[in-house]
Order: sequence, then structure tokens, then C-alpha cells
Amino acid sequence: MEKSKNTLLSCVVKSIVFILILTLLLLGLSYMMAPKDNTKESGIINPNATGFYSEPKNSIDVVVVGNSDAYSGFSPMELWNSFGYTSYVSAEGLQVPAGSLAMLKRILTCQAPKLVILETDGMFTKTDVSQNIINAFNSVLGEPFSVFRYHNRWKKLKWKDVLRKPYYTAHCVTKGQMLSNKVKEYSGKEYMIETDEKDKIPPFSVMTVDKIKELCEENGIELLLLEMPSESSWNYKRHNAVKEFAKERDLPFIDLNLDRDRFDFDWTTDSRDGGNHLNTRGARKVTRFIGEYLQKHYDLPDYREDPAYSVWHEDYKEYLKQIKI
Amino acid sequence: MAYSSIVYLLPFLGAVVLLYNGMPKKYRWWVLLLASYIFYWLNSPTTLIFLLLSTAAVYLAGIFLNKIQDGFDLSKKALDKEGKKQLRKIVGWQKKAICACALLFIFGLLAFLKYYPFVSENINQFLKLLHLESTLPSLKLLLPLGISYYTLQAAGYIIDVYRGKYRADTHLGKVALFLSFFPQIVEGPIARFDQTADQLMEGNRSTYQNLTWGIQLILWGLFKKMVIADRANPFVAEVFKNYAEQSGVALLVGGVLFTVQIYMEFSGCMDIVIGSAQLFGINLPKNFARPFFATSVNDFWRRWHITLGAWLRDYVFYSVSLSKGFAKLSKKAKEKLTPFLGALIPSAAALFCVWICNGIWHGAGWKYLAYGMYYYGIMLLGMLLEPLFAQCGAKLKLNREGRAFRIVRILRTCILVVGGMTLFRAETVGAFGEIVYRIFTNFAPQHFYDGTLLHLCIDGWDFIAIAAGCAIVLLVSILQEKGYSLREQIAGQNIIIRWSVYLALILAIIIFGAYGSGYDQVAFIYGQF
Repeated sequence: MEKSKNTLLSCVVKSIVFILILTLLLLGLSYMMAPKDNTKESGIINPNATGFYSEPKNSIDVVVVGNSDAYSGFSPMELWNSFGYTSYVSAEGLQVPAGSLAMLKRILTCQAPKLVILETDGMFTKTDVSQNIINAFNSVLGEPFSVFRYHNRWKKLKWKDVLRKPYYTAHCVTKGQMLSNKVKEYSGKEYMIETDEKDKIPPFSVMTVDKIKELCEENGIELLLLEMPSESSWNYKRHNAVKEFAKERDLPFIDLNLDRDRFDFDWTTDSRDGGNHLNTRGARKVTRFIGEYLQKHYDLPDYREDPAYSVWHEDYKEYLKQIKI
Repeated sequence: MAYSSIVYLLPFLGAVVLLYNGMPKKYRWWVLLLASYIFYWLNSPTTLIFLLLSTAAVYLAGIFLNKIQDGFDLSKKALDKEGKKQLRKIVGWQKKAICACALLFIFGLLAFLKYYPFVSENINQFLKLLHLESTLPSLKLLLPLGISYYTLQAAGYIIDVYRGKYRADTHLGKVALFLSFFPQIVEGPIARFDQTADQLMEGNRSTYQNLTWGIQLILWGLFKKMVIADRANPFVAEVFKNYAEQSGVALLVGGVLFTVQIYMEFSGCMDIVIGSAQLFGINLPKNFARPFFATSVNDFWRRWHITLGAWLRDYVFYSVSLSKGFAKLSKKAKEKLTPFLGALIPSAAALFCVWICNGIWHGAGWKYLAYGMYYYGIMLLGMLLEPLFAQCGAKLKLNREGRAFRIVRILRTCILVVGGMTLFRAETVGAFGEIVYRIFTNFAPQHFYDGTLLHLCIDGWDFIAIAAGCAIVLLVSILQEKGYSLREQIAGQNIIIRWSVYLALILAIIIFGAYGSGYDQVAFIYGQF
């Protein structure tokens, strides 16, 4: 009996030591494999979304997270020019709330935003249990164990990169927005037909958005839920679901699919792909409307006259060139 | 929930191991049964009913067979020799009828769900040729998970009971667990009742050795699947999808890489499956024995998907070759033909049945039939030409047992297998024909070195990773072929060497595995049958 107890204890101790060594190795490898810059060439995933690393420390006041609807429909440069607010879109294609949470944690390592805008479409993305586990891991331990994200960098790893500290140099003029001047109209029926029915928000999304809310509260950040106009991914049932979700948590929610005349929105000119995503024209209209809302409800500083932010004016000029205005 | 997915490996398998060991010994089989049905339900909820139906059918058939046998054993004592003979004949027919009904039912389900779309489509096309208007309705049927595997296990069980190899088990849970055991339900191995059923019910606690060896085997399987097979997949998918645009070199490399992919993936999956079972102290039959060391196609099929080959041998080959009608044919052939042909023709006829079954087991389609016939043709040719080869060898004074000759035979077998795998992977028989045609007419040898191959969805580093992975597997295989048990060798080393090997394996999977950004999870090929 005593012998078997000792054997069991020895097995448990050995297992713990083995796991500890493995963890240390993974942490070391994560440091070695992680891109040391945020340029495309450095191998970082979604360089546009991670441009905040190279913005001056604590210079971004508004952060937008979410999926492609967010990086297509929100224009930080428009917000800057019209209101003088500094913002960054750290949205990614198919980003789900767990991805938004992970991104927010990365943002907080170098920025101190006053407001986080979460685009809500990603809350309805269906993910299986396996994906949820991976997402949960990434949102909690994704940064220290970045070897799981960047393991494929072994192909391009240079010795000089292995041990040096990260130094971020990318400069994203659009501050994370994806520009598209393409116009493809949506000429179908009105998709926001009023109903009392509600879609179900997947429980994992609910749990994760609650975590985002918690993180924001811990850091004194306001959280705003926002839905960009999108015919193909949005409807009234989803509106009702998010409205109820927001009400239960006392969070503000703006659904830009309702009363689109408020911001002069036109599906025949403002979409790049027939009603799924906005083009730059649509993004400008939407962002100006959001800016008015922010001006009314939040106390965000206007930096347009601040010489420390003069580079934003330069970026705005470049942005205008890119959108061909 | 693929066997290589994180949800299977960590929460699912972890929870089942903990629950299994936390239960009193006599209830542990319940944990395995419940876990098996949950696993099935999570993967294929709507088709669980077919597994339950097949289980009920073979269980009831087994009970009936027992009753008939018991009745016969009881009655025969009071009968004279002639009476016993009469009764035995009646009982024989009764048993045959029950066995046939059970087989008809389970194979009927398999045939309908798996082959109806293919058969109805071909019959309709035939009717169209005859200008007949009546057609069979086209149905979209869901193929139950693992039906091709558990149906063979169920059939093997009921045939064994019928043949009197063992008595049918009266424990419904035991039969149900034997057919549904979660590690083997998706891709086999196709086990026999007397190989695994008792082990499943024993409920032995997981020992430290079972756990560590099980985990090692799972890791080795993940290495093969994620580092080699999944990394080769983009190249293979691209080449076979756009075969009409590829050069002969790309198609040839595609064929070789697919052979590597399917071996690493299937044998890797078996390592994960056998390792999973080992966590519970259950030993499943092995399905691979280093097939690329085979010196002939026959030898290859004794080493590749061993349990399928053994099933076809025991239940198709023997059933056909030992049948009365076949015995008559064999006798006539020996009387009327030369001794060589007299012996060859019965074997060839029985083998024909085996390879037809092998082909259609793999899938419903002409290419699968052609796949079976491809190997049948090679084997038949080998049997026919064997005397000629022997004569040539003698005249040329070749040492047919020598090492050099053995290597030549291994290479020849590998080439034939690559041909078979190319047919297996091609979309249709016609596509396979075009691939072969292009290999011979548009070879473009410069594509070997001008970088063309590095632009087919994988780069030079991927090729290096695949080659290095294959070299490691080859090294391990050589050692195993020479009789070394690598796991025992490693287990005998001191803790630093042991742990270094295990950590290196884990880190190799994490760093060189094809997963994450830019990679879709690749479904196991044999899980789709």
C-alpha cells in the first residue's frame, strides 16, 4: 500500500515537472518565433489590424474591434478630420468576440483607449466546440504562447530576429480601415422587417462579450456595441437579440441598419459587394454619424490643434489620395 | 470531432479517462459505452439510429443462434444416429436462415445508405439509353459515421457465432460496446469480438505504463498526420484538382505525395486510435506493419489495412473457396486443365470476389471498382507469370533471396502502389487515364529543378519538412522491421534522454505541424468511408 502510494506520488511529481519543462520551452519558443515587428514582411498576422503597436504610446482614444464589417465600415481618418478623435480599427476577417478579446488585450499593452467599439456581427458567427476551445485559449494565453499562432515562421526565421526585442515600425495610414472604392449596389428588398422574434446569441459569444465588458471596466474604458449596415449578415431578429443583450448589461447599442436615412445611406452607392460590406463612401457617411454620437455621449479630446498629432493631418492627406477624392 | 482535434484529445479523452478510473471496476464499461454513444452523437447525431439498429440485429440474431444450438444439443441426446443427422440438417438450415437475415439486414443498411445513389444513377443512365422513361428516385442520403467499419465487425461477429467459433454473448452492453467503441468507430481497426470484447468489459484501471505508452503513440500519430500528411495535402489537392494543367513531373510527384499522405494519415490515425484505447488498458489489433517494405503487392496488402485484408480473407475468400459449388468447380478445373491452371483458376475466382469487395468497400463509384480490379489484375498477373519469373531467375542465376533482389522487389511494389493510390485519388477513372497519359506524354523533366513544383501551394521548406518527417518515420520503420521495439529502447534510457525524446516529439508537432493560419483542418481520408 505504502509502495503504491509512493509510486503514485512519484508519477504525479514527474508529470508536473514534465509539464513545467514543456511550458518553459513553449514560452521560450513563443518569444523566439513571435514577429519582432508589425510590418507585413515581419510575418505578423493581419498587419493592418496591429498597426496600433507602432502608434505613439497611449495616443489612441477609440478602438474598434470586430470582423470585416468593422474594417470596411469605420474610417478613423474621417473621424479625425471631422472631430479630431484618434481611433484605430483592429478588426480582422471573421473575428469572433474571443478574437476581439485577445486583440483588446494586445491593444492594452501599448494603448489606453477611452472607448472600445465592438461590432456585433461576429457575435453570431457559429463556431464548434473545438474552435471555441482554441479561441478561448488564444484570448487568455494566446500572447505568452504565441508559438501556436506563429509556429509556421520557422520557415522565415532569421537568427538576428530570434532573441531581439520587438520593435514596431509599420505605419498604417488608414489606421486599420480597408479601403475600397468599388461600388456594387444592393437593390433587393428591405431586410429590416420589424418583428418581435429574437435570434439566439451563441453562449460562448455571450460569455466572451461579458469578458470584454469586464476588461473594459477594469481599465476604465467605456464599451459601445455597434452594428454596421449589412444586408447579408443582419436582420431584425439579430437586432432584437443584441438590443436585449445590451439592455440587460446597461450597454449602449447603435444599429446602423435602422433608419439609415439618418446618415443619408444609400445601398445603391455605398456598398462594395452588393450589400455585405461598405465601401469608402459608405464608411465616410457611417463614421460621420458615429462621430456625432460620440461627440454627444462621450468626452473625447479633439487633437486637431495639438502639434503632437500633426502626423495625423499628413495621414489624412494620404488617405484622401488613396480614396481618390 | 476528428481524432486529431484538440476537443477530442484534451477535454473528451481526458474526461473519459478520469471518469473511467474514478468509477468502480464493474461500472467502467458503462463509461466507455456512454462515451462511445456521446462521441457518435456529437459527430453524427442523426445516424446514431443505424448503429443501434445494427447492434440490435446482431445481438438478437446471436441469441437465436444460441437457442437453436442449445435446443439441438438437448434434443440430440435422445436421438439415434439417423435422427441426429436429420436434426443437424434442420438446425443447420435454421442457423443459416437467421445468419442470412441478420447479414441481409446490416449489409442492406450499408448497401442502401452507401451505394443507392451510385446504383440508382447508373440504372437511370442505362434506362435513358434504352429510351425508357421510368427512373429510380434520386435520394440524398446521410452516410452514417463509420458504417463501413462497424458493419464488418457486426458481420464478423455473427458469422463467427454461426460457424461455432464462440457462443453469442447474452450481454447486450458488451455487444453494443464492441460495435461502438469510440476510438475505433470512425476508421477501425476492424476488430473481432474475441479480440476486444472481453478487454472492453474488464474495466482494468489505467496503469502508468498504459497512460504513458498511450500518450506516446498518440503523439507519434499526430506527428505523422500533422507534420507530414497535412503538409503534403495542399500540393496533392491542387495537382489532382487541376490535373489537366499539370506536367507529368507534377502529377508523378502528386501521386507519390498522395501515397505518402494517405499512409501517414491512416497509419497516424491508427496510432492515435490504438494509443487512445491503450489509455484504458485495451489492446486493439494493429492495422499496419510497415507496408512499404513489402516485396510484392500481396505482401503489401498483408501489411496495409491488415484488419480489412484479414476480414476479407476469413469471411469472403474462405466462404467462397470452401463453398460446395466452388469445390466442384475446383475439382473440374483440376481434372480438365493442367495442374498449374487447375490450381490457379479456383484461387483466381475466389480472389476476384475478394477484390470486388475490397474495391466497393472503399466507396460507391466506378473508380473504386477499378481500384480493386487494379490490384486483382496485378496479383493475377503475378500468379500467371510466376513460373516464367522462376525460370528466368534460374537461367540468369539470380539470387532471388538476396538483398539486392529484395530491394528491387520493394521498389517495384512501391511503384505499383503509387499507381494504385493515384487511381484512388483521381476524381474518376477517366481522370486517372489522363493523368497517366500526361505523365508519359508531357513529362517536362525540367520541372524537377526549375522551381515549378515550389509554386503548387507548398514551398521548398514544406518539401524539406515532409522529407525530414518521412526520413524519421523510415528510420523508425527500419528499426521496427529489424525487430527493435523503439518504445522499449527509449523506456530503458535514463530520464534525460527519455524526456528529451518526448519533448522533441511534442515540439516538432507544435512547430512543424500544418495547422492554424493558412491551413484548414484536413479530414481523415479513411474516415469518409
